[in-house]
Amino acid sequence: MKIRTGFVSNSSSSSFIIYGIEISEKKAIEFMIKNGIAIDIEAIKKEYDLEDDESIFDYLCDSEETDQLFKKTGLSILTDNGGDGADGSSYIGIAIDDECDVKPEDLIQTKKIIMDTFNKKPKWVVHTYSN
Amino acid sequence: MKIRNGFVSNSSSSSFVIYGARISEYKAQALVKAILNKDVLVEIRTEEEKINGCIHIFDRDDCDFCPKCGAKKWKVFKESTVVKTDFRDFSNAFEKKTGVKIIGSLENQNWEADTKDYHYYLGEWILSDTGESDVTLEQLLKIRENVKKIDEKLNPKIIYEYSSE
Repeated sequence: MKIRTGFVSNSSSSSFIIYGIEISEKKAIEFMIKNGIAIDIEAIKKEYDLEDDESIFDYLCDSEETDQLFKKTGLSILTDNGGDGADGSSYIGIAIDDECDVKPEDLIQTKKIIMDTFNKKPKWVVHTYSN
Repeated sequence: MKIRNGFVSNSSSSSFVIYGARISEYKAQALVKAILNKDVLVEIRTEEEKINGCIHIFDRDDCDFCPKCGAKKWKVFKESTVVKTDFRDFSNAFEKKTGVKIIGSLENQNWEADTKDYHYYLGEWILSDTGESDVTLEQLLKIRENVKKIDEKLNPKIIYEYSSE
């Protein structure tokens, strides 16, 4: 499994964990537009000949500029898109890794943002994968 | 992975999330001693095991030697057994008194030597392979407060551990 999206990490990983919700590419793009992360999406679509949500989402996830802007929200998007068993699902929330310093207040804030934005209660999502 | 009485362990593939501060085994022992006045000890118990002294079978209780070959009726072995009184014995009492758990996470298991190494957290587990705990995010704030009451220097974190063996 590869944790893509650039928002968290670009490296292969054996597992990831996120406190959040599963999100479709369409919803993720909407979120990025609404929060000023994806700017001038129509121009991007034209310039890079992007037609569907998947290709737009891929572009945004690989963009360093998007990465920087996304970090300001305090959220991350993780996508399970590599290795055996990968299903391409994407999740938005707060990512937990060995070096993070997530506090209960951060989780409470994340819960509020997700509830307010997506009207869904976040859950702990663990993705594990063996080579 | 199984959570057993505050212990997180024992599966070849496991992942869990804990909100807690990592502490050494020594520190965990010292806390149990200080708060519950109980010792977590390694004891050596010596047990005796008797086996037949020779290959001949005879049924005479009054005889200490084999009538056929003269060997002693019993060979007596002393077997040293290491008995570890572990944290599971105290986890409920500790939690009741402090509001936090001592959680042991299996680090290494040596099947041949029948030994296990744990590392420990002071806090609460949030997620294991068996599912999410009932603890709310707001309760985590209280747990941090309780951990700080035990030792101001401890700084609980959200910890994710994953192992695949």
